[in-house]
Amino acid sequence: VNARRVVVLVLDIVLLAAVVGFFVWQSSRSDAGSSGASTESEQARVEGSTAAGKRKQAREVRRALLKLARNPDALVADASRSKVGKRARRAVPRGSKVTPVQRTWSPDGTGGGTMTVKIKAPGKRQVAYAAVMVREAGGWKVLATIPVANP
Amino acid sequence: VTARVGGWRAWVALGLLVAMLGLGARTLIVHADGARAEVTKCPGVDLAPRLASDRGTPSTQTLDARGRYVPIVVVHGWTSRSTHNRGRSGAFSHLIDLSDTVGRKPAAQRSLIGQLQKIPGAAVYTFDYHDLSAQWVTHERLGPALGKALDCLYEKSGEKVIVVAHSMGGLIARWAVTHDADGGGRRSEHVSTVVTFATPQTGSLLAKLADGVIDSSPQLVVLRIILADCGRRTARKFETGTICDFLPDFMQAFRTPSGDALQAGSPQLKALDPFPKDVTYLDALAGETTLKVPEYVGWFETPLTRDVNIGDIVVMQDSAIDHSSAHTVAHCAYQLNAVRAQTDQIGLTLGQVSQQDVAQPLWKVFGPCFHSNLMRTERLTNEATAIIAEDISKRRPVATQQTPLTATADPDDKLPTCSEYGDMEPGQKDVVLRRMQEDHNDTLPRFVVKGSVLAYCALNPGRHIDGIYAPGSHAPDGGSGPLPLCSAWRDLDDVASDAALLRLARQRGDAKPDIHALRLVVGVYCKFKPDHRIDDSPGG
Repeated sequence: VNARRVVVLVLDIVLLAAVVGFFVWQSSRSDAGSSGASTESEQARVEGSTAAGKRKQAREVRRALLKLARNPDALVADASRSKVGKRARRAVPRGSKVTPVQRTWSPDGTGGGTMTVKIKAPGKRQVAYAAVMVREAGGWKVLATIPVANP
Repeated sequence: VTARVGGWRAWVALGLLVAMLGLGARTLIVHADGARAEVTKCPGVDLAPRLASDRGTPSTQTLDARGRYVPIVVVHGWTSRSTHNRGRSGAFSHLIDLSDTVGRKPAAQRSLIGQLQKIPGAAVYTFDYHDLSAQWVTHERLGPALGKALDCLYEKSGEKVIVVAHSMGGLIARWAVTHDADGGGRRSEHVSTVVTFATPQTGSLLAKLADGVIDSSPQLVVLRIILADCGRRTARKFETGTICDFLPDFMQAFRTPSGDALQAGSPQLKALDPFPKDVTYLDALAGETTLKVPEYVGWFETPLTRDVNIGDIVVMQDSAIDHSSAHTVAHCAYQLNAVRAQTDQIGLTLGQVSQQDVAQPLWKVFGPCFHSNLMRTERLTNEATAIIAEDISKRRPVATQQTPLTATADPDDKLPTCSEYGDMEPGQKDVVLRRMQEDHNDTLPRFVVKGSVLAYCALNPGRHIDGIYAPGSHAPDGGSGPLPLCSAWRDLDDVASDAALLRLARQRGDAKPDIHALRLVVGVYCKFKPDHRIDDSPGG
């Protein structure tokens, strides 16, 4: 009986420790999430300040923008989510041809930057945009765009 | 003498003598009637010298009619300086040469400090913390040091102090004014007026951006686009002659303790108390730049906005005017175009909205509404001067005791002619009218004087505005020659115009002409008959 009580007690302690551990782990995860944006931006800022880092970012941003045609919703930055809503697909219609211009990548010194991207939607003329890119959750997202006119 | 006494020892002795005399010398304020008073010296602040190139500024500061002076302390913004010297690199030392009225170029006669030094009874002091710009306002050599200086100036002058501050200087003033004086009592009772230029009372969005905060507000999106364009420009050329020579420095500076605190909604800002009500006037001056984007800022085909207000680029207008008793804003509007060059690079051009056909390189015209340039902007500096002049003039017992500044007035500093007056900004007109009333001991309400000048100037465009006081003829006699046509007479200066009227009176046999009546009668006649001679007027 005593041995069984000891086993139950140990199991209770282990269970309690697991519950407490789980909450501590969750808490630390959410803390990391809130400061994550800032840390990630800072890393991207430092990286973009060197020539090699800038080239690497340009390749990454180009790859990210190429996903626009397939899944534009995945490219919406968290901060723009409420404004874009469910209109990402309407913003980049299905069947659009997306052409990012890698050499136009220009870091903004705050962890983001701009790159020209040309969109040719079916039945419409091609439009060039300056896409304002930010780094989020390990990838590059589009914060906003501004149409780029021909000079 | 030194040469005869012999060699370098004599020069050293002479140098020491001069140095000793210099150390013992006292700085004096000179009263208009020649009375002198010693300038107050307080730790942390320096009396601003008078710069020769500040036109119309008296050779030294003057006491007011009571024999007193009011200390004005200027506090620079973040990373800047207050020091006032010939280099004019201080925040308040640059000549006032910018206007937010498109096409207007002010005459650039003096700096803001020079303008304040013109106010009878004003003594301008500078508070400089340049080397500690990275620190927050609670640092002992910032807020507490300014507080001590304010206590000292109040105690020694017996007058409530006026503070003029730019950017973070306004937050330093806010800290100082909201804390008790060292000797006890509320320090806010020792300060009458605070004028702030672009103080981020609730923080700066640019600081937020510098901290890596991702925000989709149109302001921050446009600032990111501008910064990216700056990155491209400065990569090619170190000095671009555009705002890009400044903006990245601001961003860099934001990565300091004070930069963290300047973020909109930071705990440090929240911990600062608002200006208390004892400070009778908190006048906030701000810049507001509207960028009109020809196409939408949006998310590809999803449009979001076209007009983006970016404040003075560093501080948004709502932050700069928060909790103020009054505010004045310089407005600038530009059309921002994102263009694609042949190399497919994104470039930005900026054209003034009313001159859209003239495309400008980005921020080549970043003048009057940019954060660091507000103290060069005519509208805002006039407002600051008018508020301060009013504060000081209210302290005088009665206007009739005001002594004209004949002893120190600059001969070039005449009141304007009617035409010059007509070209002035409203705030500048008020300053001129106030000075003219003081010169003539005129206590009539300002609107009456304004109306009189309006009527007088409609009839006498070439005359000085103080012609409303009919001071008698400016010409010793009428001289000889034919009488002019009305159109020519209206453009004559004071002396030539009065000479023509005296000739007219002589021809009519008027031995004791009333020159003022003649100005008005001929003025009215000539207003309607510009191609007639002045003697064709009724009865002529």
